[in-house]
Amino acid sequence: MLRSLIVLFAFFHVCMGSLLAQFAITNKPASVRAMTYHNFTVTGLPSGSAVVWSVNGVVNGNTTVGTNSGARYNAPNFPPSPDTVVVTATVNTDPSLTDSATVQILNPFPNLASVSPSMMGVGSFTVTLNGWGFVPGTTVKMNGVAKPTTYVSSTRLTVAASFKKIPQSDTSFQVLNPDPGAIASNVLLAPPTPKNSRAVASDSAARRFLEQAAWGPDAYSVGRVRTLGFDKWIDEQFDEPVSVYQDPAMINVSNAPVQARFFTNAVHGRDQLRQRLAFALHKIWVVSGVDITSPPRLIPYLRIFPDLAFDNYRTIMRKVTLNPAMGEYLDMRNNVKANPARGTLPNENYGREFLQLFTIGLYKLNPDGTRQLNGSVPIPTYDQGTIGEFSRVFTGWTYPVMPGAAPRAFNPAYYEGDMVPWEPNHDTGAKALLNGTVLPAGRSADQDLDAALDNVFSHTNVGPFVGKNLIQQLVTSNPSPAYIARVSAVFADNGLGVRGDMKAVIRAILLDPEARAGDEDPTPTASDGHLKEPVLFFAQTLRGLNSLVNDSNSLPARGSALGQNAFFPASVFSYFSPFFTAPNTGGLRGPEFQIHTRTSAIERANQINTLIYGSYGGGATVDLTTWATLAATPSSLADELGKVFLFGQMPSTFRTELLAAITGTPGTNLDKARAGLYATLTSGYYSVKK
Amino acid sequence: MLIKTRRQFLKVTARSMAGVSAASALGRLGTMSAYAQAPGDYKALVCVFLFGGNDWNNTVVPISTVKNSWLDYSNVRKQVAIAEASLLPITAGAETYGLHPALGEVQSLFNLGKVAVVGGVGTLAEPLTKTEYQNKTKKAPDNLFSHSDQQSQWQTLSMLSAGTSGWGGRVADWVDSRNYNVPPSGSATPFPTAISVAGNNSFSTGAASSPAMVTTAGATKLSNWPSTPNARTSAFQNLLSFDNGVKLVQSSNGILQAGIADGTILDAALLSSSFNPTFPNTTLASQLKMVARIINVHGALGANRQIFFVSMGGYDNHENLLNIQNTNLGQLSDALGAFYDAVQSVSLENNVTLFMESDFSRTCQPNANNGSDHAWASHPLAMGGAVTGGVYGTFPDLDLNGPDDVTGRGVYLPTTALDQYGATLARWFGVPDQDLNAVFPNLVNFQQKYLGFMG
Repeated sequence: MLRSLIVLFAFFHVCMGSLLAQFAITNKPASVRAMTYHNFTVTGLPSGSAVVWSVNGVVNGNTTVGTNSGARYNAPNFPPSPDTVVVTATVNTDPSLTDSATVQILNPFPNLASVSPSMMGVGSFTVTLNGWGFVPGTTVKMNGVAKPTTYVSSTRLTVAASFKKIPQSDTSFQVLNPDPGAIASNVLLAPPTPKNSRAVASDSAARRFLEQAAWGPDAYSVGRVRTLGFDKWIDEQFDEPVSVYQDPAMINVSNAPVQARFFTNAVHGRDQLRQRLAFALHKIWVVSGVDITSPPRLIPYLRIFPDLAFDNYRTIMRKVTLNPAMGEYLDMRNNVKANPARGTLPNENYGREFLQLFTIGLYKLNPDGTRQLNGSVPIPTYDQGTIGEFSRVFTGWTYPVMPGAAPRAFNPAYYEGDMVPWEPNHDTGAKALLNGTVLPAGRSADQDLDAALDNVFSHTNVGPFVGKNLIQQLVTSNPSPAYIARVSAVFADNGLGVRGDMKAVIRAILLDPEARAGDEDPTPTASDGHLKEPVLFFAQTLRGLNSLVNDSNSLPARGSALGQNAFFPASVFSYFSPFFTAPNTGGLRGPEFQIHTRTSAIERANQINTLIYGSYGGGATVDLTTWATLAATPSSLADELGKVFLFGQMPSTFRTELLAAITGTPGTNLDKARAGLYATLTSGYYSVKK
Repeated sequence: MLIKTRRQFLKVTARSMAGVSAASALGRLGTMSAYAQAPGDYKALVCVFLFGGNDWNNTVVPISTVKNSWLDYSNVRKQVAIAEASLLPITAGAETYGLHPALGEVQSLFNLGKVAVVGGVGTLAEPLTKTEYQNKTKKAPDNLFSHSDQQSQWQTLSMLSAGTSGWGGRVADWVDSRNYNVPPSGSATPFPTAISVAGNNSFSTGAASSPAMVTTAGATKLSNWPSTPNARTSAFQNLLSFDNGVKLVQSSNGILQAGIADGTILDAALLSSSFNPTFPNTTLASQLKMVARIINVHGALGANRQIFFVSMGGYDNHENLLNIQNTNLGQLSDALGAFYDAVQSVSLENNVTLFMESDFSRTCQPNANNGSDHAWASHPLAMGGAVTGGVYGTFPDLDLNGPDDVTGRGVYLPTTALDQYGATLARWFGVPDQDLNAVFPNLVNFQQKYLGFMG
């Protein structure tokens, strides 16, 4: 008995010994790249104790040497001097228990966002490269050759360029960060300047078109449209590579850098049409940063739309439905069939908004977007019973399996890739969907999902519902029924028997006679136009002013001041409703007017004032020198303002006021130019596209 | 120090400074009052809209009532039920209800007789029974359970989805038709009767009138604006009336013009007082603080009647209801308590009535994610010195598939129409019986016009 007790005690002692291993950090990387992070793990932490983290002896570190948020070490934005830091873990209840890791901080991953000028022409000039993660030793390679590089800031470099004639092909730019951790950026291409003699579209028509198909005109895009014409330009845009969002691992903490990148891309990206469509699709298939609060969660969702903007609507339907951020935002992930013991039914959130907001809407539509009526009463597309059925379809899905983990009924939160099914949680009963379709019992989560997506996709509402929404976003708030009907016919069949072909739908929207009416004719109709939403207002204004924008821009906050915090709409009902009626218009739709209040209207004028008379800071700079030069001849300045911002269609009464502002302003030519810019850019005529 | 307010009674030492500033603000108010048409009769309505659809089942819980016990409630709510012991009890006659544990300030005001709970309020065009609803023999409001439609219906009282004017705006139209508000100094027209601190909304938009907008930061004015016009500002002004025939351009110009006019007047009025009441630092509290500051300078604005709109989001709790609603209602309760105290500190608590609206209530039966889905009948609250505190309306029987559940998930048929709730408030505000039907289009279909909670 005693003997067995001794054995037991010895065994117990061994066990306790192994449980209470020496306190230590178990993963010590030799290096961590600037702007990224490393999650430390420790062993041997006594129960009831916590770890105090410090960097170079400073508890929780600082921005120079990096910071700790718990066991996560966030490297600084640039290597400190010296470039090694010591990260220390100490047990709070017993400071003698401590361990350290010596870590070298590598240079950040450099990222090129834009090159200015964006096209290479004849002459010797300075090329400005905007981006992020630059260091004093960063080198620019132009067409593969390293060039003497001037470091301006962590977001800007300049090099000298010289061309005796217009280059035959695109000029490539790439930047290299030196050791520690030498690393190259992405490659940006600058095309040759177009030759005006080959223009097939007028300057004013090209600019008006680019208000609809791009984030407004800039010199490069006007050149491309004039050279190619609308149809071929659209083709070129279909093939433009995607302007990228950051690697989520590199910008942890908040979505603010993602918003800033959105504006950098909007102002400088070559894939303008893709970006306009991507933002439009985000506004239909809303996930909001209000709930999806960090880049690792939000970015995989945001990448869907540029990636699939020119794909098929059915593909978008499935991809967004299975996106983990959407799963989290509208509660489809971890949705479970009815559980009588717990007294629960499936979550209705995704099923309802999927039908109401993403695909078919509340009422049966004719192909021209008007409501189908029973007498004078609109006919609903579904009732509460249908919502219940779709809610049962959307059961049994959970987060993607984290690499290295085993699949579970409720996988831990993970945001890369599509959600995955867990069949025991799926409701396998028969389900009555739209148009009398009944899904048979006994199918898997994926079979039910695809059948339900097919059921909705084939509903005749999708074409007019989605088509009208996209027309409103790109072209006009009040399209005619005939225009909507032409677009929904293309949605139904692209001419080759394919339904939902986004390339065909986009072409139909932008090349429709109703969209193009007004290119050459300055006589508008009463219901024309739409109010530029704040993100478009800023992007277009900055593109028109040849602004240099980088990822340190303050544009997200400026948009927010105007009522549109990009990627943070208040709810799944987006930034504003497509049904909102603009005041005092006799019932015209004006979706953007929902956020254009009396106060945000004043704020809009004040943002122009800050841009023209103050500054948006280093993240969005403008140089008004060329405008000041023009102001020496007021009529030339008025002409240029009309050309750049009003696509050459400035009414004579407007021009009279503008000239009065320019000539009546005392002082320098810059003062006169500022007065002209202020009067033009604060006008309702500029804010409302026509 | 004379203890005259609820808060001073509760926290006499902590808030002694606030008491001093309130007293000096009172002095200024006396001077201001000379401008007002009938200062003693000033009245304000404050609509607090809870966006997303508040779960009223957990806001006002039956503990021991004629229809339900706490056990009946917890049998339906299961894992989203609130423990009986943590509820804040309020009594109405022989019945006991429990307020959500986060509603401490509201309970305190209820016990002082300043809060009314109205059970079973919902969107209804006419009286409706469960059978009539299920057999579709009478028309139910359009698009029940749709956020956008039900928000619109609560705000406009059009039981079709396409309401154009809001009932707050229509009350403002009535005020304007009576010339109750007079032009403030420096203006040819009265300051708008309806004021939104929460952006555009249907509630505040009348058939004739449009609301003023204000942000929590105060009046919004044009920057870089000289006191004498120059070439740039003249061109700006002239271009505001530029008309090229495009209606959306006119609309945009009109909004900016109105904003400039409102901002100038409001800025001067707010500068006339240093009243700076203490509020928590939350979105809703900041909005209500601005409402209190405007109420305080109503004399400078020439206002005898004002209708405010504030809002708070985050109530669409399809999951994690218990935690999220606890945070939300805590913020709501603290903001309401601070608002009551602020208004009381300028002796206007009997002139100001705050009331709640929300998209709809939520299913009493929970869903798979410890949340609840969209439902119907709600139990909103009204608060103010003019409120006759107590429990009004008719609460539903909570049994699933019971007499009041129309879908089997704890979606309860309203017993009381929203029009009756609104008309009760509007009559207190001064809208006479003969004018109420123009504001409340469905009221004509209900025999009882007023619910009694405004005396």
